[in-house]
Amino acid sequence: MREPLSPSWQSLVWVALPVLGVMAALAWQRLGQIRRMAVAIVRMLVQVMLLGVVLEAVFASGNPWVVALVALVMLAASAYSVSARQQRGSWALRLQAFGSMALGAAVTMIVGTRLALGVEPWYDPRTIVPIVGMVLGNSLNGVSLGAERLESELRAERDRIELRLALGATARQAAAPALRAAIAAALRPTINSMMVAGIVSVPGMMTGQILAGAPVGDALRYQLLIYFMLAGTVGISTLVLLAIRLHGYFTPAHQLRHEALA
Amino acid sequence: MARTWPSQLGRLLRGFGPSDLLDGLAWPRGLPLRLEGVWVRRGQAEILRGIDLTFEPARRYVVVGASGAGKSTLLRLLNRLDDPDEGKLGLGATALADLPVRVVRRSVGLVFQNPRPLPCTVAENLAYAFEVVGRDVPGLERLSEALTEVGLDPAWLDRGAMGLSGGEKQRLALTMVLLTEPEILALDEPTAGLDPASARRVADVLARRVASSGLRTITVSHHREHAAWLGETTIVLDAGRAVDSGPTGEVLPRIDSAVWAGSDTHRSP
Repeated sequence: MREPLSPSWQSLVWVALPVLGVMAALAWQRLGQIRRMAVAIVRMLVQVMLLGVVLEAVFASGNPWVVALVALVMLAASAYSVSARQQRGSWALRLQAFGSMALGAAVTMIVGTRLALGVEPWYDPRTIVPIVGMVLGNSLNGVSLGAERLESELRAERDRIELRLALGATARQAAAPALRAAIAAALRPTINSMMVAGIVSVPGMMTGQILAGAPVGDALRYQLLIYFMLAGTVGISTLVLLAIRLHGYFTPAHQLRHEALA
Repeated sequence: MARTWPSQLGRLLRGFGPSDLLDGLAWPRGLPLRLEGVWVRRGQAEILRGIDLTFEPARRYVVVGASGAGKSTLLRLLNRLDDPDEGKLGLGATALADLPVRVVRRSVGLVFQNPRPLPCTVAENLAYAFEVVGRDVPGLERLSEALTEVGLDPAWLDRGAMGLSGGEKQRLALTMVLLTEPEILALDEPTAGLDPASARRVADVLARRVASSGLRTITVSHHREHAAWLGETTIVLDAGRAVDSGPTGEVLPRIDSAVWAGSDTHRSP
C-alpha cells in the first residue's frame, strides 16, 4: 500500500481560488448568490472543523455510551429536518420520522456492522459514527420525499379517494395509488444511485478509500456494503413511516380526515 | 386513543382492519332511513343545524337549496363519508354507525358532483366497485347494457375515462354506482350540465329503478325543471336547516327564486 496523500492547509487555499473566481464573476455580473455562497463556505468550514474536533474526541474516548449519544443526536437532527422540509411540519411527523428512521438504521447497522463487517469492539467509533451518518443522511432524504409526496397526492386526489371509498373500498385500497407514488418518490434517489453506480461516477466512499491508498478490491466491497445498507435503511424507514402516516389520514371507519389535509 | 398498541399494529399490518362482511344479509332492506337532530360543524361554521328527516323505501326525494345550504354535506352523511357532530342516523331501529361501514357504503350509493373518473378505461372504472370487494365483475354484455341505459356508447368501454366530457363523466359515475345495485342512492346534481334530453333520460332511469327494485333516491338539484323530474317529494334546505318539505308539485312553486338563480353562476362545467 502506498503512502496516502494528505492535503495540507496551504493546499486548501489553492482549491479555494476557483471558487473565489466564481464569486468575483457573480459580483461583477450582479448575478446574486454571493452572500449565500459566502455563508455556505463559512458554515462548511466551521461545521466540518467542529466535526473533526468531535470525531477526535469520540474516537479517543472509546466509550460505547459516547457513540450512542452521537448516534442519538444525529438521529434527532435528522428527524427534526424531515419536518423542516415539509410544507407543514409537525411534532407528530418528527416523532414518527424519529421512530421509523431509528428502526431502519438499527436493523441495517446491526446487520452491516455485526454480521457483515464483524466490527470489534461492536461500538468501534471509527466505523460506527461515519456509517451511521451516511445511513441517516440517506434515510432522511427518502423519508422526507415520501412523506411530502403522500400528502400532496392525497390532497390532489382526495375526490377520487372518496369516490373509491364510496364504492366500498377500504382506506388502504382507496389510498393505494397515492401510497405507490409516495414510495416511488422516496426510493427514486436510492434506485437512481444504484443504477448509475460505477458508470457515471466513482462512488464517494470508494473514492475516499482509493485516495487513502486502499486496494481497489477492498474499496469496492466496502462500497457495495454501503449501497446495501443505504438501500435497506431507506426502504425500511420509508415503509414504516408511510404506513404510520397513511393511517393518520383516515378514521377507523374508512373516512378521509379532512382536518389532516386542511 | 383507547386502542392498545397490539391492535393498532395489527390494523396497520393488515391494511386497515378486517374486511367487513359484505354479504347483503348484513343490510336490512326496506327500512326507513332517519336523521334525528343532525348537526355538522366545520370549525366555527355550522353546516347542518338540527336536521330531522326520514327517507322511506322506494321513493324519490329531491333536495334543493342555495349554495352553502348544506346539501352536499347531507348526502355525505348518508353513506358515512362523514359522521355528524351531533344527532344520529338510523336505519329502522339500528344506528347507521352500528352497521359495518363498508356494508353501508355498498347499500347507500353516492354519486358526487362533477365527478372525476378513475384514471383508467371506462370498463375498468365500472369494474372497480366489484374488484375492491372481491366479487366477480359483470360480463361485457352487462356493462354495455348499463352504459346504453344512461345514453353512453358501449363502444367506449375500452376508452380512457378521462377523455369523456363533463356530462359523460357524470353518467359514467352514475353507472358505476347503479351496477352495484344499492338500495339507497344519493346523487349530487346528477343532471347539472346535461342537455335536456340526457337529463330526462337519467331521471327516467332512476324512476324505473325505483319502481322495479325498491331503490330510493335522494337527489340534490339546482335546476327547477330537473327537480320536478327527479322526485315526488322535495325538501328545501336553508342555512343548514330543513325549512320546507312536501310534494314536489306544491313545494317548488313556493320556493324563493334565489335558490335557482344563485346556482347558475356557481355551477361548474
